[in-house]
Amino acid sequence: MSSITQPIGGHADVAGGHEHHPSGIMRWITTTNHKDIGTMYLWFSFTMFIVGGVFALTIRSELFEPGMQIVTPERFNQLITLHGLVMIFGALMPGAVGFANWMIPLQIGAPDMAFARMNNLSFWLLPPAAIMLLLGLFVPGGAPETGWTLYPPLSIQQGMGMDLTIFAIHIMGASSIMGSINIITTILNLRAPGMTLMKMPLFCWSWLITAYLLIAVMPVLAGAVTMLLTDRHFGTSFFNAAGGGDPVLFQHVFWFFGHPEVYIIILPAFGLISEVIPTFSRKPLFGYASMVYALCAIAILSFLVWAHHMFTVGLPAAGILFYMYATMMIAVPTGVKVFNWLATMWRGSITLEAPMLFALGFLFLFTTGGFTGLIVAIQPIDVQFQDTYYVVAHFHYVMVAGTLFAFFAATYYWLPKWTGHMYNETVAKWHFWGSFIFFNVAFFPMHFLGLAGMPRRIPDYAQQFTNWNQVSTVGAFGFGLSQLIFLYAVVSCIRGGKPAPAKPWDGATSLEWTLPSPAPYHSFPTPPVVQ
Amino acid sequence: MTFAGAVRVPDEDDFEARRRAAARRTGFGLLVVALIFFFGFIASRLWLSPDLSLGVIGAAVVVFVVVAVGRHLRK
Repeated sequence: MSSITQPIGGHADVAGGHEHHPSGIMRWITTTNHKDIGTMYLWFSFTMFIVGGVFALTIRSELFEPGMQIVTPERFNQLITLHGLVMIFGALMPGAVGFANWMIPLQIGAPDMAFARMNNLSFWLLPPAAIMLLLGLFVPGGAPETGWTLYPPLSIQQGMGMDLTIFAIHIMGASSIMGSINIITTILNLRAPGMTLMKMPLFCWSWLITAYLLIAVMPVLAGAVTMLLTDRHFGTSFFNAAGGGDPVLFQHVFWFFGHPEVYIIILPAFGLISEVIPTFSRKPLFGYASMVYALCAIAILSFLVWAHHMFTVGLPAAGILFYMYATMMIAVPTGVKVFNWLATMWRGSITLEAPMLFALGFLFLFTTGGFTGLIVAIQPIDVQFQDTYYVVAHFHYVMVAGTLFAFFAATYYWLPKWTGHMYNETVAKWHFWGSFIFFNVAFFPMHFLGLAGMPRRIPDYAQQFTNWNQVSTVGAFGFGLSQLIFLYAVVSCIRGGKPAPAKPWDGATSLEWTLPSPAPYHSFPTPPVVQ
Repeated sequence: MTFAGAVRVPDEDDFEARRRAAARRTGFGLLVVALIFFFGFIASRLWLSPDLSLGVIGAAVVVFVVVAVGRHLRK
């Protein structure tokens, strides 16, 4: 990847004297500036992360002891559903879009996103959708009790909360599609002269591929929930067995969306980690081209493995074998990525600032989650682990320690560029160690619970599972409290601190570091030339 | 006024206009793809053999991703 840049006119930070912008609330409502919109996405994501986290802590509190203590079984199931939906559609996806909005134009030398007004609309669709999703808790019948997968026939029988959820998914899906169109168009059409695709920072590559995945699968999910809606209210029987429909079809369709969705969430995290590790190893990324090919391979393979989520539903033997081997094949390009990150660090001049600590935490924990994924990819084992806490442990190692740790790494990495101040390194390290230790305390025991046969999505459990559940709950609260340290670190960095230079990390090479810190409101009015 | 034989030197406005037009084309193309998948998926349950038409639209989604991602690797 080439990173030596020479801006036209000699100044990368020329803003054309257009630093003025509206102030007050109208700045945020009417803004078309990618940095403002990126900031709003990131705050929205963090807010939803807190909301989803509160749901998780309520669930863990209920599971602290056997028996019913805090919520009714119905409410427990509703919290399970909302925790999943809020975290995936409210926290992780918008968080990734926030980083994309902030950083893609800066990394490719574009003045803004290609469709700036549509960018504003994409964001402002999210708050009403989130409100609609959460409103389910307060309507008669409550929120859906189906889990985030919304399987029929239960989803056809649920109350008004299900309709709110379906509409919320529609709106969030529309927002995602608009965001993806914007990202692809920006990357393909607004790159600086000389910035060929194979010179782009890997974060941009990861988002280019993610955006294609989103455009491919979000309409499928939207179609599926639309059919669910017509089954509920307009007398159709797409998935309603009573009318000749096929409930298993919904599972196929859902996971045709749902498995690529996993990669929609993790690929941007791969991109973020690929920015952080070379910087703090003070070496170029090892095997740039192979990293790009691995991203593409993962994206394509993600469409061919959906039925591994349905091993216990009943598939033909040939189907089971295909999905089993195809799932294991994903380990190859993923292994390439992990190998290349390690090779990048090999003999590098590594320093352990907070972004690098989170990147290393990501590497260790994501790989752990990947290994447990390989285990459940084996169908005879999966039959035993299906719907146990082992699966809960597996996907939290991928989603939380994978994506969330990458988000933390990237936040600390770019905070100086965003705010113009250096964050407090000591506080950030406290955040890392709190998150790393308590994450493992919360989720590692779930492997044991799952191996012992504890089913997931239940509010009560047999006595023998008590000890590990108590450990897990303590870990969950510790992990939750650690995020308050993150909030403190970010807010104190925004409010002040040591002024950040244009390039606070001496190993950083991409275009955004040619701009002053904080990045000017309007950047790259004239495109830089990439040599 | 343009004189016969005169060659117009493209200026920055031309470049911007071309870039905006290219962006609109890309965006419109992607929007059409998303709409085809959405309506095509629902329609697949209503036309001909549902399993076959669902397979076709599913394959179309996969082919779209393969072609869209693959063609950028050559650049």
